[in-house]
Amino acid sequence: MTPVTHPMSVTSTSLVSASAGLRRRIWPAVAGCLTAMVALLLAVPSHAADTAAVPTAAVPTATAVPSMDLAPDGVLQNGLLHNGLLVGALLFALGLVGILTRRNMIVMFLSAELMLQGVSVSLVSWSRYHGDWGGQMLVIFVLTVAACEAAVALVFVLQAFSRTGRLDANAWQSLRESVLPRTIDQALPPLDGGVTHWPTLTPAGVEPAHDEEALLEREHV
Amino acid sequence: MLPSVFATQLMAEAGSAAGRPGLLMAVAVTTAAASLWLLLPKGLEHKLTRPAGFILGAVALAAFALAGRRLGSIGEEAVFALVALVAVVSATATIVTRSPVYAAIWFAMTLAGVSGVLLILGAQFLGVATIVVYAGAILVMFLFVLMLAQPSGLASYDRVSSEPMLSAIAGAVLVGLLTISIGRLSAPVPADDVEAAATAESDAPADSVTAVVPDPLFENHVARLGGELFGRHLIAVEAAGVLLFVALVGAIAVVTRGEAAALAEGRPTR
Amino acid sequence: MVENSFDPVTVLLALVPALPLLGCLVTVVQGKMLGSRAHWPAVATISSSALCSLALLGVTIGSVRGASNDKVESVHTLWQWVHVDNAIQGVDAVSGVDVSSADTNASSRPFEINVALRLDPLTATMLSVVTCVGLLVAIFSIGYMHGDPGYPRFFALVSAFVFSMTMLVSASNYLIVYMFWEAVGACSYLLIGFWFRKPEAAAAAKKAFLVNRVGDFGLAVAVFLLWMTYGTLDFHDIVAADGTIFSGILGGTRLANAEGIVGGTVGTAICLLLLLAACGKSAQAPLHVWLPNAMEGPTPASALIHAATMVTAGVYLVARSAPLFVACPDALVVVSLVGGITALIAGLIATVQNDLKKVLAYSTISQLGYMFVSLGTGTLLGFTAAIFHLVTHAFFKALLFMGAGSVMHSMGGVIDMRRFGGLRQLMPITAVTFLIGSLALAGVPPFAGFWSKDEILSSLHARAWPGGHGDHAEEAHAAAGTLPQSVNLEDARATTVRSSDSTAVQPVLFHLTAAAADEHAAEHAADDHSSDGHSTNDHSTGHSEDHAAHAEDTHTAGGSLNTPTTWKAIWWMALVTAGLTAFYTFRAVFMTFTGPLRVPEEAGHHAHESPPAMTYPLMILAGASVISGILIFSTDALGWFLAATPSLWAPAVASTAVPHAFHFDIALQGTIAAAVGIAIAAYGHYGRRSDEPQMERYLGPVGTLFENRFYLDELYVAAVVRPLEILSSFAAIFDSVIIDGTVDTIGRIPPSLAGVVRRLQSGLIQRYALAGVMGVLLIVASLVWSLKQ
Repeated sequence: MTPVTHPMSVTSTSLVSASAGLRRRIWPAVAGCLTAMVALLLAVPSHAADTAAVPTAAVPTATAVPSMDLAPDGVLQNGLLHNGLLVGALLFALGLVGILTRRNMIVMFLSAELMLQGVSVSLVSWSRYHGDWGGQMLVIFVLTVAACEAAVALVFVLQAFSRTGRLDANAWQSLRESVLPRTIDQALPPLDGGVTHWPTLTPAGVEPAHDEEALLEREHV
Repeated sequence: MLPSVFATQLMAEAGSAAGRPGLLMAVAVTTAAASLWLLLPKGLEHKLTRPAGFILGAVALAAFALAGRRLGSIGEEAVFALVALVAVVSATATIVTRSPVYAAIWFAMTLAGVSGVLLILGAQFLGVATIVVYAGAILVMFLFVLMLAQPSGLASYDRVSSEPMLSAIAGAVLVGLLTISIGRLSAPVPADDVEAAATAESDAPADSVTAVVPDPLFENHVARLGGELFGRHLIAVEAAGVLLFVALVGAIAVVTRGEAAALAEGRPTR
Repeated sequence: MVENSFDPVTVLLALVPALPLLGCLVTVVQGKMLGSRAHWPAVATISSSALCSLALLGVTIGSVRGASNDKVESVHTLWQWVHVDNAIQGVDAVSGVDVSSADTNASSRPFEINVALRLDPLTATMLSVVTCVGLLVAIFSIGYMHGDPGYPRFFALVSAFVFSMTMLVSASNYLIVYMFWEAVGACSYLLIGFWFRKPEAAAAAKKAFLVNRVGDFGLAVAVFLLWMTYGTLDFHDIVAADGTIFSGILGGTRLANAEGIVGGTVGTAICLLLLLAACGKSAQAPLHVWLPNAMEGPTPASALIHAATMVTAGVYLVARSAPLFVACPDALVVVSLVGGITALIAGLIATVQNDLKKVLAYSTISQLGYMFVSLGTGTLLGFTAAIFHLVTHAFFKALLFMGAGSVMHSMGGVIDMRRFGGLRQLMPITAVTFLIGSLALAGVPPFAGFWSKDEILSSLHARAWPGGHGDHAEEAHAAAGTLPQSVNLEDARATTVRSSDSTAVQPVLFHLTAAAADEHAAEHAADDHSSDGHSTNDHSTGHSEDHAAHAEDTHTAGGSLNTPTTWKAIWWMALVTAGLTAFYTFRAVFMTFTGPLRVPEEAGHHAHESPPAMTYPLMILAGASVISGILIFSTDALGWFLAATPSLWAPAVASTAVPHAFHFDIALQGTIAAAVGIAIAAYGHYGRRSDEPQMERYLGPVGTLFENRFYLDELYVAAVVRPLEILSSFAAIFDSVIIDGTVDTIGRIPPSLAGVVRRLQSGLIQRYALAGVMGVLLIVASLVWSLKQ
């Protein structure tokens, strides 16, 4: 394998190396597959079942891109709006929980970006509903600002890291009241039988050591 | 066809369940909170906490899904549900996974899901831009930072959370509140009126449905978006450009100053 | 006569107090800059003030000569200080007599205080004495206080004192008198505590002020009662524009009216309260305890204030209020008793004192007691004799004090007589002047003290043995406890008045016939029998002290005090005191100036005669001590000059006048007493070393009693100071525990609340964010709730 330099290959490498821990993630994978199956099975449009119990206003066509029929008081548009807002709310709330909970500063910022995603979805839902470009404009700017913010924030994270050697948000407690003691984590027991070595990204610019023999062997063509 | 009938019946029940939104929201919120709490890293963990968390999370998601509205057809609903599910599940995984690198990867998955949602909503440009900018630039930047600041092994602060219970409850309650307020906005049309409209429509030929109107946001999407962007929001675009510039300069400035300070204090510079 | 226009008398009257005030202010402002010349403003202004006083004295003498039997009074209102309309309804609510005018509308009267200065013989006398003695003391102080770091402050205080005292004696309103009563008390405090860094001096100043305060309280309540009884506080009558006369308390219209002055319970209460005030200021028992301690102050201050002037303010007050006292015979007896007892015990204490200044202090108390005895006799002779003694006492006591100061200055601050002796060789001028002063004090003829003491004894004798010099009607009066009064007032006046013009008499003069007098006596007898009776017997010395202490009670002792027995007792007290006076005075003289020459080490190079600044005043006062007595007596200034004062001109007082005569038998008794005292003193101390106890050896436990001042100080500590200390310790505990505790507890609430809240600030940003999210949830929930409606 060639040395990993491209970001996309980094991702794929991570994915590959993460397969070892896939056992722990079997459940979401199963859930996702089941849902996919259900969705595929139900992809066949059935008219009869629709009209009786489900209020619809237009006959959907089985196109890859769903027709965005605009009926201002139509339930269809309401439904998309509703669901879009719901998804946006869920993403936002999840991002919020992430910020409040995770102590790794990188994950905190990821959660912040997640919140911005939720907001984007909501904005676009509203834009779709009203037929107005404003929402999507705002999302473009949200994107821009997110980029700037991420840049500057990560610089600060690195500065913080260089001072304490940790990416821990709890490392910075100097603004506490003087009477309170420093909050110190209880020592956690080491991971037993688990992964003691997490996959890390290789330091940039250094060719990792690789087994020449293994590289020359091929199992398949 | 059995699964489809089953699914239809499920959705019929869901329609009636929408008549009792309070109970549904309560169930959804409670299970969501519980599942988040179970899933969040808490140091010492029982073997079963994470599976329990996943199950409860699925239940919560189902409850929230039931609170949603029906879309045009099963196909639309299925696609939307799938994409939304990808987004939400990946988002959950982002915040609960122990390793920050995995969190970044799951975030990439979330971006994929969000992009799908945006495309369903007809925002073609934004759907692609999300992938390009977020996944392509911002996420990579995160990964670079992780590379520079990686802890050796699983750091202790990645294995514990701050106030998991309160945060989970807060997040779940927030979703519940927002869902309730969303529900107010789109009250369902009474069944008999819609039925009458539907039967009236079904009599007419499919092509002559008066409700079909071309989507102003759909035709020539990118061109129109560009026109809107550089027409009405030109100043904002310029300001955004300036902002980007400022961020660029600022980031570099902070780094160089930080290096100088670190040199002065004898700390190792990065 | 009330004058309100610009005339020389007004100017002079106003200048007399204003000049020392100016001197005080200049010294205060420029004292530091003046440095060792800081005495100039004080000396200059006091001397000008003395000249003005003497001029006023001359004016008054002229007025009296021209007034022919009339009162002489000249009131000059400077400005109106307070005016409150409709402050009191009617007048003389007690006696029911409306003396405002013939108009009986009994309209309401305002509360009005005018700053009015008066000129009458009493005031002129007092002003002259105060300013002249003040001048001499100021000159003396130039030498005495030389080199003291508080040099300017001393002269500022002396000037302030002269201002206050002159205002006190020339004020024509009881409230103004009260103000300056307090002012002289304050000056006294400041002067006693002049060397305030010395703890004993500061304590003595506090003691003086606090004991004076007791008296001031009496004066304040007396002022209240006077206002309520008479509806005014002025001495003088005020004639309104429409001719309505508002009588002053001591105004001509009221004094001429037989019912003008209120007697009975209210009147006695007023008089006893005034007596309390006078006791405080003039150091009479039981409020005499501050005067010996006041010797901690500089000797010139002692000379001025505690010998000559301030302590005489009480005598002045009683003399001024003579008509009030004369209307209440019970009060008069109390006055005399207080004076007599004080004189006796002070004299006894003085016999065993070894501190020269303390001897003089107790001597002052004793002589003031004499003056009170004289005042208490209630006759014109008694009042005028008291003033006579006040004048002569001012001269010779100031002389003695300044002599003591001279000795102290030479001996380097040592004033214990046992440590020095035989100083006549060292300081001849001081010795001679001191001897002259002592002779005057002892009452040796022809020195000043002899004449004044003789007059006092005459007045007392007339009360104790009323039949001795009068007719039987006087005996009847004495039995009823009333004053011996001349049958015909006019005749009495005629013998004392130089002018032959005796026809110009006031139309309201009344003649007291024997019948009318009996009526009056019956009234008094009815009054006496209605109240509880104290037996005449249980009035030993100690009980009388007690009685005097409760004198301010309106529980009058009934007429039974006012008996010839009481007066005889007072007479013997006075006589014994005369002997004691001579004894202790000459004991001091002999111990200090005779015997072998001994000088203590502290003297150093000071042991020589004092500088001229100190000796000239001594010589001047010595001259005054020699001639003033014989001068006043021979010219009978008392009879025709002082008697023209409105208070003493009042028929109630003036009707007790007796012809001016020299009573040889009384003089002889007094002289014998003095001679016996001098002889014993000479036998014990003449020519001997002063540190060997002489007469004290024979006294034994009685001597210890005298030395410890009859344990009165200890009694005060036990009865007053200790309970107050206990009470104040309770108050302190209450303050620190309950009040401070409450405040502190309330003060602890915010920190404790904050202590709870501050735990939220843990420095962990995710907890902060969580708090913010909670708030957001609340807002969103409220929005959702509002949408529900």
